[in-house]
Amino acid sequence: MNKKAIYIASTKELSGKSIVTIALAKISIDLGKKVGYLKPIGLQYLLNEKGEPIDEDAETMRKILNLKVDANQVCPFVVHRDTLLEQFMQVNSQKALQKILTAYKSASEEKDLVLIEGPTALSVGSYVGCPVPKLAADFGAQILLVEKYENDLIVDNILQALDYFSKWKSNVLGVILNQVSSTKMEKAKNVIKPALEKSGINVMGIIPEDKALSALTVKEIHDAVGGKILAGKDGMNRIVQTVLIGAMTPESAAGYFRKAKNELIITGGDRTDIIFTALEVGVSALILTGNLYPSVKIFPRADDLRIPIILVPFDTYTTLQMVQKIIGRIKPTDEERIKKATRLVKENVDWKQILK
Amino acid sequence: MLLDAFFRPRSIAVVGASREPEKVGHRIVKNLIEYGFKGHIFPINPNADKILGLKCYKSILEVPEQVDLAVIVVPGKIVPTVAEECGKKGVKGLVVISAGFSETGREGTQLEKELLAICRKYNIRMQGPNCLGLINTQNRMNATFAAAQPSAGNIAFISQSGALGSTILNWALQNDVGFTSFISLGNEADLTAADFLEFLAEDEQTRAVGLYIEGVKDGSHFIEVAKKISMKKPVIVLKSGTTDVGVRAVSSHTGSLAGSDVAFSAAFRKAGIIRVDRLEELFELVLAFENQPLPKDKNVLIITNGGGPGILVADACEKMGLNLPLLELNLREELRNSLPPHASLNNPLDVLGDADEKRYELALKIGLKSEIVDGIIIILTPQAMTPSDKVAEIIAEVRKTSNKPIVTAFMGLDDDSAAIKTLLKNDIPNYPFPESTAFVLKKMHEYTSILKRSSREPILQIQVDRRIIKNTLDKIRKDDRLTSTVEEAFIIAESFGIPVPKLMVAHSPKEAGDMADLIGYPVAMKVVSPEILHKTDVGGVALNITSRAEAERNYENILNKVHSFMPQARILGISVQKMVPQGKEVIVGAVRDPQFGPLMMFGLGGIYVNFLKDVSYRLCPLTRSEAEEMIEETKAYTLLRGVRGEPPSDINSVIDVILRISQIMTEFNEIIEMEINPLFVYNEKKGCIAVDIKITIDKMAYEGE
Repeated sequence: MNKKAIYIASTKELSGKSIVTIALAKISIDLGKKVGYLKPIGLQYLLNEKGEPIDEDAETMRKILNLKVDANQVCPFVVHRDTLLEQFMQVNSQKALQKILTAYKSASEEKDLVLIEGPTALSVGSYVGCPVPKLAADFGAQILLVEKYENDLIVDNILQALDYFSKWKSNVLGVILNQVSSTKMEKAKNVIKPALEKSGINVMGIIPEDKALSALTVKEIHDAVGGKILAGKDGMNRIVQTVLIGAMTPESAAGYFRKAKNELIITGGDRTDIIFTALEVGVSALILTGNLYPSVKIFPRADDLRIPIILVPFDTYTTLQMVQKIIGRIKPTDEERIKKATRLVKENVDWKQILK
Repeated sequence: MLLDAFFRPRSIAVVGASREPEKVGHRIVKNLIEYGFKGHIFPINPNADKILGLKCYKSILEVPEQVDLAVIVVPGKIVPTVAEECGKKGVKGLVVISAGFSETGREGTQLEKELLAICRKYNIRMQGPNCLGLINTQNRMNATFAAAQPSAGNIAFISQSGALGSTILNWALQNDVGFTSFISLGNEADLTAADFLEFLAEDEQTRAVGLYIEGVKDGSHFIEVAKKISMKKPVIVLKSGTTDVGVRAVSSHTGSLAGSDVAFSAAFRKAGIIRVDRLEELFELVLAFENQPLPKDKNVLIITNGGGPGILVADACEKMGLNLPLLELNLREELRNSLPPHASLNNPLDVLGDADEKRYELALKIGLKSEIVDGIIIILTPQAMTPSDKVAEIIAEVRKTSNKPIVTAFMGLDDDSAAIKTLLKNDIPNYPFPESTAFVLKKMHEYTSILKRSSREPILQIQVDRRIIKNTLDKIRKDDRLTSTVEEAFIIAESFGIPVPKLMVAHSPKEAGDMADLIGYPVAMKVVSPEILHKTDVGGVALNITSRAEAERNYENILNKVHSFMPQARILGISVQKMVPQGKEVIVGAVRDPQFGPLMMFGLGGIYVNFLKDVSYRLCPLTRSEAEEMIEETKAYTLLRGVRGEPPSDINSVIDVILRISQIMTEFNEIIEMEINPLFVYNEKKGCIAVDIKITIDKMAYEGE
């Protein structure tokens, strides 16, 4: 088979599959290859402007690869994790598989390379007889695992997956260790990698953790939380890495704010002292809660410093929860992050071997 | 002289002068005329021919003569236009009374910037905007819209609050306190409190300066200026926003960071400024400093005609740290011969309830004669036999030849009584409540000590290899961190000669074992993580490890515990350090205050530090005596000297550490916080050792990268 297909999958959620997929796509395009994309089962459930359910990742890829096909073709099954079973119960296994294979066929037409992005875990789709290894075997694709390295359990996890793959006789390309913190880099290289290779799986790359890649911008937070931008509009592209609540005395607040980088402060609009402290220490942005309008005197200062101040009607706890929710799910949607992701993969992954 | 255009103008234009008596623009012209300004006054108003009998001009450009000072009372929005005209006219100073500037928010701030740019363009200085104006009694110039016309005297007053300013003018009039000048600061867009202090330092007539502020514009400049003026005359400051709630109110009011109150106190101390906490105290001190000589030391004689009030004042003196010495033997003999036998010749000196003016005169003269008495408090309670008016006259007479401060408490008398009037007229500070007398003498003595304070004391400068520190700070930055690891902090401290225990950072159980073997048992092991501030709370500390096996086990154990408490924390390793013997625990730290720069902190260590608040603060760079004072101010000092037969601790080594941190903070701007907690202090000559150190670097140092 001269057509190359890579199934990018992982055993756990939030391992960074999208980033690797995007980067491999970018690299291949630069090499002059025609790249196709498919996400058989999508769980990043979102409604598009027409009210149809779409998968967020698949949408992003459709845009990046400039694919002239409908959303449901790059992702034939968009399901919600709370109602997944009801949705799957409506189709029988045969039909489901057929639908996915058809989608794969159209995705791979006239392409040199097809990138297939897996769902949150290898098992998703088992109920309709379409788990990751089965589909990989049917597509004739090679599985590339992307795993976040947190602790030593990663090795056992991957070996279990290999065991699972052998049941379906799927072809395994190797594994990429992702989001490796600087303190664990040495161990990843000297202990984990040899251990995995000894057990029969290639380690195709070790990608260091990049905080900037996993950081949100103030604008993204504002998009999600809403509210009125009172000042500092020029700073909406600032990066947010930490969220802090400002409910203490200004003196102790200064101590906390100083020790955090790129932080978003959530505080009451009546806490002028906290707001000034935050501006003085230099934070990424402030969200003022409870629709409490602050002293107008802070606006010129915030404008000067380009620190956005956003007023929301919610209480502090609700606001924090809203922000936390989006912080876990970061999408490489903007040019800057795509570039960074591509560079990261280029530098740390044996992409030549993968794309060979 | 600088600011001459404000204090000694030859001509003043009032732009926005009005014919209507209730308007501010009318009041100012009226004040200028009625107070007797000798120069030319030009009212400017396009719709009037004459205001209060003066010819009115349509624009300042039409005034045929040179205008030195322009007082502007037109609506905020057109102030820039007026300022532009003033620039063209060659006006040297503007007093902008008009409001609607930075105090109102975004547009106002823009307007203020515009106005300032015009002033800069024409090289004009500006007072305000949003102020009450200014008064110089020496040339009878009242360029305010205040209702009171103050009398001439020796006090200058600067106020950030216009409302408080006019209150003070009224109060001064009632209490016969005279001013040299009165200045309302407003928004301080151009001229700040520091600029006016600089002027007042040179003003011969001004003997003391009162200052009400909520914050300062440029902290270090303020300190520099205040340091100079306080060597010439006392500056008494009342700063509001001392509590959390107050700070919040100040922030909302002034539109700026109020700053921590400890930083302000430290700044005032550094600058030699006398701080008071209440408006009443400010008044009391102004009264005392206006005309009284300073006490040489803190020995006070109390003369009273009533036992109770005498004891009240004696208590107050004791609490304030003033001494009440007994008079010399020969002087007591002299008193014994002239006073009734049951008069108490101690201190308080009780001249008894039937005392007449003669007894007071005798006691007062003896007090002045005494070599040990530095200041005298006279208390008078209303008694049938005591003619208060005559006593007041005697004091007024004797005072003329006195080189010691005399303060009085004539109690329970009407303000209109002859006695009170005599005292006021003769510049004798009198207080209705007796405790005030002790307070003012104590503050006057404080000023005496400020003047005595040696400003030439050198600042310790030790030679260090700056590259080591630079490299360490660069490494933290390159790692994208804001806090140092203990290893890095130790490197920095050690290069400045601060003693630290031997320490290494392990990355595996085996390494931990190797390091422990190398360092020698017992060792302590602690998690190294920039995210973890309180290591003990998350199980990140193991102490007294005595074997290799134990070290290896603890490596795993600490990792496990920390991981379960804070799964997201970055762990950079586990430090293995030599266990040092327990010493007295103290904290030495510093934090960079946004307004005043590095602020040193010293206090008792241990877990109660946040609760006991037994800490003292000073602004860096510190002299040796300041470091000594820092320690002496705290209860930790008593502990370090040894309680209940303990041997004294090595206080000198602590002073040394304080001075070295002061140097680090002064030299490395990117360090925003540094804390040694705890510092173990050992017995005299045995030194001290920093057990843990945290350094935080300024995130602003990342900006612009």
